[in-house]
Formats: sequence, structure tokens, C-alpha cells
Amino acid sequence: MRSQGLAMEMMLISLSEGAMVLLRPEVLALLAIGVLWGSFCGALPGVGSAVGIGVMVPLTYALDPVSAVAFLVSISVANSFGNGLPAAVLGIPGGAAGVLTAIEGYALTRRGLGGLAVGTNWFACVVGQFISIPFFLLLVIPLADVVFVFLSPELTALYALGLAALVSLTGRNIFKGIAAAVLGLAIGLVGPDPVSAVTRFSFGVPELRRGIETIPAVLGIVAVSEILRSMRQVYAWGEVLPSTRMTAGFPGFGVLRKSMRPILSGSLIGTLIGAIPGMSGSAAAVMAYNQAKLTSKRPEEFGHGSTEGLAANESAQNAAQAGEMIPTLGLGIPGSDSMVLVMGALMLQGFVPGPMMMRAAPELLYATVAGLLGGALLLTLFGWQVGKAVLMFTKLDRSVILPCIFAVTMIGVFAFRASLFDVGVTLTFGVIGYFMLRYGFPVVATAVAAVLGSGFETNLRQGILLMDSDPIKFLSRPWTAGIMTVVVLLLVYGTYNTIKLMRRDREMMKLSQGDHTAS
Amino acid sequence: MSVPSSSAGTDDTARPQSLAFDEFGRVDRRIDLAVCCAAFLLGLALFVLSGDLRQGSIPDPIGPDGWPKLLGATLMAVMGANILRRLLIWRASADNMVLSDGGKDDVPGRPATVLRPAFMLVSALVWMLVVQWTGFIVATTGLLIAGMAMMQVRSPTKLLLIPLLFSLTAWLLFGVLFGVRLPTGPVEHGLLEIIPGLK
Repeated sequence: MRSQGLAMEMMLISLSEGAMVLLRPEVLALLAIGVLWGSFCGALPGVGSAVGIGVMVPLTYALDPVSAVAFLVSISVANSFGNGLPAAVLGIPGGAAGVLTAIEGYALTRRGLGGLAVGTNWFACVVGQFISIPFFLLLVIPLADVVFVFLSPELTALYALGLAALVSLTGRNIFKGIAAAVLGLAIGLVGPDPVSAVTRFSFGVPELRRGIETIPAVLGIVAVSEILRSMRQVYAWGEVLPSTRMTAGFPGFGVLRKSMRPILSGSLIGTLIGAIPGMSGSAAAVMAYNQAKLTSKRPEEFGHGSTEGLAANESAQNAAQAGEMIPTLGLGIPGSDSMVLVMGALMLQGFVPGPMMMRAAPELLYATVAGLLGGALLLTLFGWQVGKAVLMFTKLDRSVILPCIFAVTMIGVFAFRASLFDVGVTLTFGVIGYFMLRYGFPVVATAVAAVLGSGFETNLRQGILLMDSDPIKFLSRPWTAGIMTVVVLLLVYGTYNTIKLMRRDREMMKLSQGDHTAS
Repeated sequence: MSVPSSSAGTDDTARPQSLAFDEFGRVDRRIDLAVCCAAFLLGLALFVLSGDLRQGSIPDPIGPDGWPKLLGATLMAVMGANILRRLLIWRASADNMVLSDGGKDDVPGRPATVLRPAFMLVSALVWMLVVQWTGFIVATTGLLIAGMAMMQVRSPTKLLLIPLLFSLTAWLLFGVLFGVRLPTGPVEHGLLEIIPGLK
């Protein structure tokens, strides 16, 4: 009871101190720049928060620590929002985490409901961010202690939880769905073995000895494949979309109400999963999406423009930003690559990263709250306008936009490591994805598996070594056993659900194609 | 069962025909089977090639070959099952066109061709080959001109102005602002000389 009271008191103090930081005009101005910049970077394929933050880190040297941290955190917050915009409007995810938004949001846009897609994306981001802040404050101290317990066996179980979500992404043919997931997992096989550093499947190519980077492969599979497929035909968007106006405009009350449950669960999942070092917003988004599908009254809509799936995915991604701050501030362990850069900025300011950093300088916590809260407030104020601006792309000449988006994707991939090889990887996976799209292999399963696969193998093998090669010792660790039980239940229930939906879907397809051939 | 002749062009209900799909979105089962066989062979290759992987200095129960073998075997199993399923119901269909597995459809009533994406891909490969020699701006402008021309843009203004503006903006954004080491050519050198503060 006493510790709960202390946690509540700490949360209230942090919120009020964070709000006080926001009252400074120079901080507010910085956050506005951060939000716009973060949205812009998030929207560019292959760029992301690491580049967005990295470009700004040198500029923070001239700022005080509180302003610097708040500014960088606001970039991270807005980056998640920006990631979803081209995904929803054009089917091009800004990064790996936007894959599911590209599936659900773009399906809505293709039905002339681009406004609904962008509006739901914006609403889920904003609400997810607001909900994650109190979760973050309540959990930052307890979770920082629990995270010590999370070794490789626990991380393996969490990755397995993410991979179990793939059962919901298998599409109409479960065999092809599993094959697509295996292809994604196989991407992580190329390069150095995670335990012994033995080079695998390089075929004598020097660039392959380092492995295939996930971002170029995922952008190829999801974005380039879709662009190539779209280029098969020449027409104006206005000819095929029922309306390029935002037919839904701001989502109505019914949609908002429907989205609240997946947003709440997505925010909690995102905060918890984001708090684990090594787990990404992408993994949190996949788990939240799967959970939303399994508990939805309309699971057949998933994969075809489900606002619940979109809301769960986006809220989890955004909440993971707050979650990543937990190990970063609580333990001095950066939760992601963008957090590494935030730590770098703190070191420039003279702070020493480590478990005592936040205890010695509580103003860093207040600055983080200011960044999260201010970022969310500013997104509330003008995020919708930014989204509407991106939706204007559907009014432009498609024959001009498609080559430009193709070029932006290639340039974004090149910018990642200044490597033409990565561009080649993207194009290769673009061709593979093109054929996968044509013949019913779900590219989203490949993309998600590519993101989670190497983390799963690495932690599995390192975990087994850590447990003296004893699988019983590995599986009997309390957190591991608990999470793996959930994994098994999810796999069983998810497979049953998927097969049921598949059969229903095929019956409907048979009826509709029977109508065509009979006429 | 007779299949009406396609009328891709003005009929909104008819889908463009391709090698593998008919105007009703059904797939040629032979081509679908060939794709599944290719995936099966990929699994087999993964499984067989894993056998050549040597154990490293730190032995672990799974080893460098364990996970690839499991993935290869899984791929063979699922594709084998799909191929078997296809073969078992082979005689159930009078012709070779069967229900597709949800592959993305083309928009009805508009001609479709694989030549356009193929051309874009070739243009991208040419971009990769020449960009180190010509520099980013020239190569990207050429890529976009080729892409837009292939997408039937005919207005000279659009065809020249948009690629040039795009390439310049991308160079300023990525090369100057983000500090990415983009390939430089005569145009980039010239701009760096002319515009103060860019160097």
C-alpha cells in the first residue's frame, strides 16, 4: 500500500514538474520544431528516428539538459506518427513498424476512406501517447527492477510471443502464410552466426558476410513490391477511388469508441514491451495487433482495412516510445538505437549514464515527461493537419507520384548505410515481394518475421548456453514459463481462429467468382 | 462452363488478363504449382546447404545449422502439403483456372502489363551502375524521367522539371542536411562551388 502511495505521489510530482517545463516558451517552440521534424523523418522510408535524432544531437549542445532531452524525446514521439502516414495513404511504411499500418490503412485508402485511415492513425497515436505517460511514470521504478531479471530466456519467450502473432497474418492459405514467415526468418540467417560468428550463406560475396540489413529487406518486400505492382496499370486515383475527398473526415464517435479497447491494450503492451531492452516498437505493435484480432468481434476485417487493427498497431508503437525511456533512464541501458543517441546527447551535457543517473538528476525524468506530454499535445493540435496534407498526395498525378516514391525509397535505403548493396537488396526483395503479392503469399508475414527472427535465434541460443544447455532449466524460469504458456495458448487459439476465417473467406470467394463465371 | 471473352478497356467488371490470372481473378493452377515448387526447392536448398556449416569455437546444442535446417524443413513441409493439396483436387476442376489464394488484383477495366514494373526495375539497376560516375543529381533525374515516361507522362514540362526539382531537393535534404555521402558528380561539384555555405 505504502509503495503504491509513493509511486502515485512520484507520478503526480513528475507530471506537474513536466507540465511546468512546458510552460517555458523556448521549450514549447523547440518541441514544435521537434514534432514537425520527427513527423517528416518518420514519413521518409528508411530514415526514421535514429537519423532524425542523430541530425539534431549536435545542436542540443547549445541547449540546457532539460530542453535538450525534451526536444529529442518529442522527435521520437512524432516519428512514430510520421511512420504511419505514408503507410496509410500510399501503402509505403516509413519503417519496419509501419508494415501493419500499410496493410490496414492502405486498404481503407483504396476504398476511398483515406481520411478514416489517417484520422484513426492520428487518434491512436495521440491517445496511445497520453495513456502511456502515466503507465510510464507508474512503472519506471518497478520495471527498471524487473528488467534485471530479463535475460536471454525471457527475451526468447517475448520474441516467441511476437512470432506467435504471425498466425494471424497468414492470409487465405495457411501453408503459404507459414512459408512467407519462414522466408522472413531466413533473411536473418545470412551473415555471422550470433553465437560462434561462423559466416552463413554468404556464397563468397563480401557484402553478405555482414548479413542482410532488415530495413532494406522489409522496405523491398512491403514498399517496392507494392510500387512495382501498382505500376502495372496507368490511371488516375480519382478514376478508381470512390472519392479522393476525405469521405470519413475526422473519425466519428462510433469509430472512436470501437478503437478505444485496442488503443488501451495496445498502449499497455507497447509500454511493457518497449521497456525491455532489445525489444522494439515493431514487436510491441505486432503483439498488440494480434491481441486485437483475437479479441475482436470482427476479425474478418483484419488485413482488409480494420480500424481496430490500425489503432492497436499505432498506439502500441507510440506507447513503446515511453517504454523505451524506462531502461534508458532507470538503468542507463538504451532501449533502442534512437535512445543510444539520446544517451549520447546526455553525455555531451556531462551526465554519466547508469542506474544512478535519474536518481542524481530527477530533472531528466521531468524533461522526458515534458517531451512525451508536449509531443502528444502538439500532435493533438496539428497532427491532423499534417495527416491531411499527406492525404493530398492522392489528388496528384499517380504517374508522377509512383516513380517519385520509388526513387525516395531507394534514396532512403541508400541513406541508411551509404551502400548501393542495400539498394540492391531492396530491389531484389521488391521483385520477390511482387511475386508473393501476385500468388497469395502474405508479405506482411515475411516483413514481421524478418524483424523478429534474428532476435529470436540469438536469444534462444545464448539463453541455452547461459542455462548450461539444459532446456528444462531454460523453460522453467518463472517469466519464461509464463510467457511461453501464453505463446502456446495463442498459437492454438490463433490457428483455430485463422482456419475458421480462412474457410469463411474461401466460401465467399467461391460464391463471388461463381457469380462471375456463371454470368 | 464457358468463359466470356475478355473486354479489358471499357468493361468495369472484366479484369485485365495476364499469363497467370484470368479476367475473374482466378489463377492458372499450373503456374501456382510451379511457384510452390520453387518455394519447396528453396527449402530443400536451405536444408542441404546448412549441412556445410561448420561448428564454431563455442559449441552450442543448436549450432549454426540447427535453425536453418528447421526453417528449411518447415518450408519443405508446408509447400509439400500445399502441392499435395493442389494435386489431390486436380481432377475436381474442369479447366486450369482455380480460385486464387488472395493475390492482389489489378484494377478492373484498365490494361495491365508486367513490362512497366520490369522497365522501372531495369532503370533502377542502371541508376545503381551509373550513379558513381554521373553523380546523384544526374542519375536520379534520368531515373525519374525514364519512370515517368514509362508511366505515360508526355508533358515536357512535367517530364523535365519535376525530376530535376525532385533530384535537387533530395540532394539538399539527404546530402547536405542529413549528411549522407551521396555520390558526387560534376553537377554536385558545381553547386558546392556556386552556393556559399554548402561546402
